[in-house]
Amino acid sequence: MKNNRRVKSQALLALPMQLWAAVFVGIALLYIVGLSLLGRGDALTVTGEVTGESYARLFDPKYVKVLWLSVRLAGLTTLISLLLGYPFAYFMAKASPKARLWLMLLIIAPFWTNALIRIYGWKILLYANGPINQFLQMLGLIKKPLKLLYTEGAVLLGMVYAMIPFVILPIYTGMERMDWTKVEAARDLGASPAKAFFTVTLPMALPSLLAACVLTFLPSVGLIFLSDILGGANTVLWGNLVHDELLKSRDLPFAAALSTVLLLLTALVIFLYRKAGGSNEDMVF
Amino acid sequence: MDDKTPILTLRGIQKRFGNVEALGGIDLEVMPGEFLTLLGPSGCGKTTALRVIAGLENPDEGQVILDGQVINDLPPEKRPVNTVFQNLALFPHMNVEKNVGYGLRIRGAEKKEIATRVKEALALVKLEGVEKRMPDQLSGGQKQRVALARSLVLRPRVLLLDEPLSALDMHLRRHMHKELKRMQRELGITFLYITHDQEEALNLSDRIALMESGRFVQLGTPKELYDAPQSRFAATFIGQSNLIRGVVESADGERAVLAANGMKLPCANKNGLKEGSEAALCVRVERLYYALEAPDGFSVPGMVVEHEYAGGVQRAVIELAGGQRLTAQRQAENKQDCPVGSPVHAWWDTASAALVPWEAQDEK
Amino acid sequence: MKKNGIWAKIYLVFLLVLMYLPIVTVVLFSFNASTARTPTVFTGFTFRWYGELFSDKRGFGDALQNTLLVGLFSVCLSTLLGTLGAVGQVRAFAKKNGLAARASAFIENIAILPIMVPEIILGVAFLLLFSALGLPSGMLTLVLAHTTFCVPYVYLLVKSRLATIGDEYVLAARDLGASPMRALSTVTLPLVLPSVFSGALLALAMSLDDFVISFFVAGADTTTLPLKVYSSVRYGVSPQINALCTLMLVVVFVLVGLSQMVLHKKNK
Repeated sequence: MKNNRRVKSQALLALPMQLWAAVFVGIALLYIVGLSLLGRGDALTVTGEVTGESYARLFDPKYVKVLWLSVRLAGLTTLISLLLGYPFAYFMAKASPKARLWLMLLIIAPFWTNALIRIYGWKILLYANGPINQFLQMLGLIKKPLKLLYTEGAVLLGMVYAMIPFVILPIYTGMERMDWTKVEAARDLGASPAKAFFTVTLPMALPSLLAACVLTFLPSVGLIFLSDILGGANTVLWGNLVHDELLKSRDLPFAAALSTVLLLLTALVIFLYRKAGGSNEDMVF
Repeated sequence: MDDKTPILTLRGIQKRFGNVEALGGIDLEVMPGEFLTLLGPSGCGKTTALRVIAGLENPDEGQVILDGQVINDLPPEKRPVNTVFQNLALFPHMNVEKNVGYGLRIRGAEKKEIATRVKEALALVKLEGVEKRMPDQLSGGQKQRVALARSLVLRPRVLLLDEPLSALDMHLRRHMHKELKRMQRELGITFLYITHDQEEALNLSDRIALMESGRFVQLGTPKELYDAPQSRFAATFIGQSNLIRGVVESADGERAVLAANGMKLPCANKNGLKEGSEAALCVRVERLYYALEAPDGFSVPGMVVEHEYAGGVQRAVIELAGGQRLTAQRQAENKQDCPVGSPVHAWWDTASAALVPWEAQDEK
Repeated sequence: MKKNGIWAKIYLVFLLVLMYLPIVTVVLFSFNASTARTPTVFTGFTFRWYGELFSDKRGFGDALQNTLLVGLFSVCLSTLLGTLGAVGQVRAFAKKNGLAARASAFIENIAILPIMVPEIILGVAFLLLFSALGLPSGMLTLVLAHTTFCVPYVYLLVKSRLATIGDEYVLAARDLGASPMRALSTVTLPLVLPSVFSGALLALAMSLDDFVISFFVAGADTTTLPLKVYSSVRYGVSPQINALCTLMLVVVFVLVGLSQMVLHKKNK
């Protein structure tokens, strides 16, 4: 029918975005996958032959170690951020409207400042003769400065620090939408606070918790500058490996293979997220 | 204007949504200047019918004819009909004046003309002095009037109203009934009104089209529908009725006798039911009379089993000898007291009680 | 919560202190007079680094200009693409034709990938794609890349707003005589405008903040503020960067404060 066709022709308005996404996301990512299957040519080129060579190299223990460290640190970051951030989101949701506004502002403001700057602040703090060591020495707790910077711990601290807003905000948004009378009903029916939490609160908060996990885990597994600044040469992560293979060793297919595996990991996480009932809309708050 | 030519005609309109049949081939002729109501329970397809006329929905089969022209292929913006939506859909980002003037602005009318006509329309719906308010600063009744003005300002050939009063409280709704009638009289515009409220339909309409499951079951004046229902559905949906189920024992022209629960009930047979067919006698609660003494002529014996006072009226449930229970309603004053347990006689006007067919599908 | 009130407060304060500690440190050390190679001991107060910053020996002006230009262009482009995209996609989802709706869902999943895929992959993907397409690294590639990762934010915000307002207003507009396009411009777009703005604001924040993707696509001759900061702090501590960061923080806090004040006024 004519009139409906005219409404539906507005579907064409999405065409520019669809084409844009197809080229700059779809093709760009497929291109990496394609390159990863080719042989290595001279300096940043590939040969025409199809080979799984780059993938075979991934099993070299020195690479496996890096990938495992990245996944482990990202997992730890997610866990710690959740434990630290959940209560904050909870108190924020339960606070008075005025206090809520202030807490929200205090959380959002650093989120708006450049992440590099905040990580850089930690770097100054963690230096051998930096403020933290000076402070501890002043208190007499330590004699010699501790080695804080350029350690795995420093990287973990930085990651949790960078990710915590991504935990607090979606969980808070989820809690705002929650029907708290159900929790009260559970308590009223005799559930202990812990039981009410696990049987009522947690299932209701689950979608936002899942979104928080995805939003924390995926960016942290591919972090690159943070480990550079706080971990130095001691902590090489997946992202650093991709960067080094591409721009230092200039091994195009291997860098592409490393990216592809990370992409597959991303796809797996998103798949699990969807399976668990997560939606695209929960990702933006 | 020739009163014999319909302004709007629906011919064999069918509409399916997936496996659900919303409209099963409806025919309708709307006369110029009339107030016609589509009445039916929710889900009966009345809103779909309205949307087909407005052009918001395309029929699978059939024709929509306005002023003698098939308008099936016209998009809603090209149809000279306007709708007052159930949720009103006032544009929240425009003030009252902008809302009412929207259609005129779209048509490219001149500023001066828009201003005058908006003013007229607001005067018509008696809503002056709130021109600059936003919709969320208006009361329910005011929103209602803005929505009416927004459509009426365009002087549509037919105004479609989709349960526009459902959000209002009873008092305001009664008031708006009068207002709607007044506006319709003043403008002479044809109103096609949708409601599930039978009282509203009886109050407002010149004619009512009663709908059930995507079909018209009866079309007529409020009085015709009330006095002479043609089906059990019509008998129960409009007004409060007692239904006495039985078999037609004898039928003779306009008269018949129904055998039910061992009683022989004389009644009118306007629907032409045949001898031996299953039928139900429909007796309106306010037309069922009862007293301790038997009247002259027809009556059946029974006993009062429930009794209640509801302000000015009394309601009693009377159990007849065969176990059949009937509800009767009467004005409270100057009536003899019939407490629970009293043996009474019940009767009705045998010429007015209607006999309707009892169809197999009614069983559910 | 009453019984735990004091612990809750301690915890909240602890987390907030942790959050602001590095920021305060950066600001504090921008006034540090120490000229050591890694000046992590506060020796005295000075404005010297701000002076050096403004004399601009290290090309901060260029970096700032590039950052703002890239932000401006990519925000405009992504807002346009994302808003129209959301409108079009919602129409496509409404189609009875299952195939069209499924194709749209597929495209949506691709379009919003940038908010989930680690930045490093996007950076590498853009770098390789742009060089395969023969695009010279610089402002153009920066804008293309930034637009791509900004689109999903605008898209998702506008789409969810469209879902909230539904199609009743559009139908009312059409009933009153508006063509589909008039209904779009007079009703739909004004109604989604708040979401378009917040989407654009979010996109701007993402663009100004981006380091990883810019790092891969900027090329040798073009630099942005985050790139400049990174190259200065990667191996050490630089008092000029402290000064720069402090200024950036001031701008951000003033902007956030202003936006909150505007929001607050509007809510009242």
